[in-house]
Amino acid sequence: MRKVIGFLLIASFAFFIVSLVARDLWIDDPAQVRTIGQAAIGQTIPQSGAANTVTAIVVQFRGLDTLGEVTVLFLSAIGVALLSGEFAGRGLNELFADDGGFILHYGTRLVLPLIALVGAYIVAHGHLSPGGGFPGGVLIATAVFAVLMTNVQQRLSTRLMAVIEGLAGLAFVGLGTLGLLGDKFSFLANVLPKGELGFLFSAGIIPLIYAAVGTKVAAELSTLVTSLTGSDKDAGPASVSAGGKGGAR
Amino acid sequence: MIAIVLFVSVLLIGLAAGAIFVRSLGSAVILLGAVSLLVALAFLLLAAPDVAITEAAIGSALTTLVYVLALRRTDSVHRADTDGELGMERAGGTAKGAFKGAPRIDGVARAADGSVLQSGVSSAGASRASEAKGDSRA
Repeated sequence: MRKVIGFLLIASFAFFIVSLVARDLWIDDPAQVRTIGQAAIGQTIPQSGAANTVTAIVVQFRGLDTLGEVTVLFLSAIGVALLSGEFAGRGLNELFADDGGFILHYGTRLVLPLIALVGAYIVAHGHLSPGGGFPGGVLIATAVFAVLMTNVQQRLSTRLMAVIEGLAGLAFVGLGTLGLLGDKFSFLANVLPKGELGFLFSAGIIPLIYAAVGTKVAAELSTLVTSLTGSDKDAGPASVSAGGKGGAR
Repeated sequence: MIAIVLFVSVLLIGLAAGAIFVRSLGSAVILLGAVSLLVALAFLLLAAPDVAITEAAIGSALTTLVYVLALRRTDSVHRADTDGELGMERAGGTAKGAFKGAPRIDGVARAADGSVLQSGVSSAGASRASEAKGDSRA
């Protein structure tokens, strides 16, 4: 049964890849593709002022869906935090004894600022170049994990992260409400001045919304990673904690 | 260009098959990370850099990280009552069995064994192990 399901999965994956590649190889001229994409590309610059069409679609043309996406991510982060409390095992404390050794410790110090900088760049330039709030926030959370990996004693304040995340979510909704006050009377309408195409301060509310999304994603995923790496340090060694739990039951 | 795309596609399907059919969960997680990285490369070759960046960051880095941490946490439930690495060696093949996707049988067998586990702690460990497996099956 397991093998049958596995072969079915592989076959569907192969079919997906073949259809994707075949479509790309057979159609030489992009103008042959008559889809909604043509209309979106044509409307991007006059309506949003963003140089990156994907960002214009994600944040402006379907901004409400992005708000829903952020909510889904928030709920799943809560679910992981709840579940990881059930498995209160050894965290990373025994995997990396003190600071993870010389190479890990100093290598992380070397790479950490670069990871955080690239994450912030990807968030800030979402309307100009590929990227945006989601991958940039994930990169920043990865940098937070590197800190946790090398400084085991270092713990992230979950309460502070929750406050940051809530403020970022409020900023998203508040920027959307700004559209209701403008002349379009529509949620998440781009009412701020569009500026000049290709500059950092352009495209109205798009970079602001992506900054809020990036902050929210980074805070959520940092909390998630912290709750997964954490262990009950106060209970002492893992064997003692397991025995205590068994006795309490 | 076309040759590179075809090569990446064939490699992707092979790695995905490996991730499904490999016995050890840890290896499957690493193979999934490799699949995500190659999918990101394929997206880049198909002129979708936005999706490629997101796939590389989320699929390849964060998902692998969360899977590895979750594996370690759930595995530590089964091994929490043995004395660390020494207990693992004494348990031998059964401790490896936890990684091979049969933690319930592993927990029961080790509880029945008795030589590896102390009394009292062992029943708690076995019941928690079976609970964990039941939750993930549901």
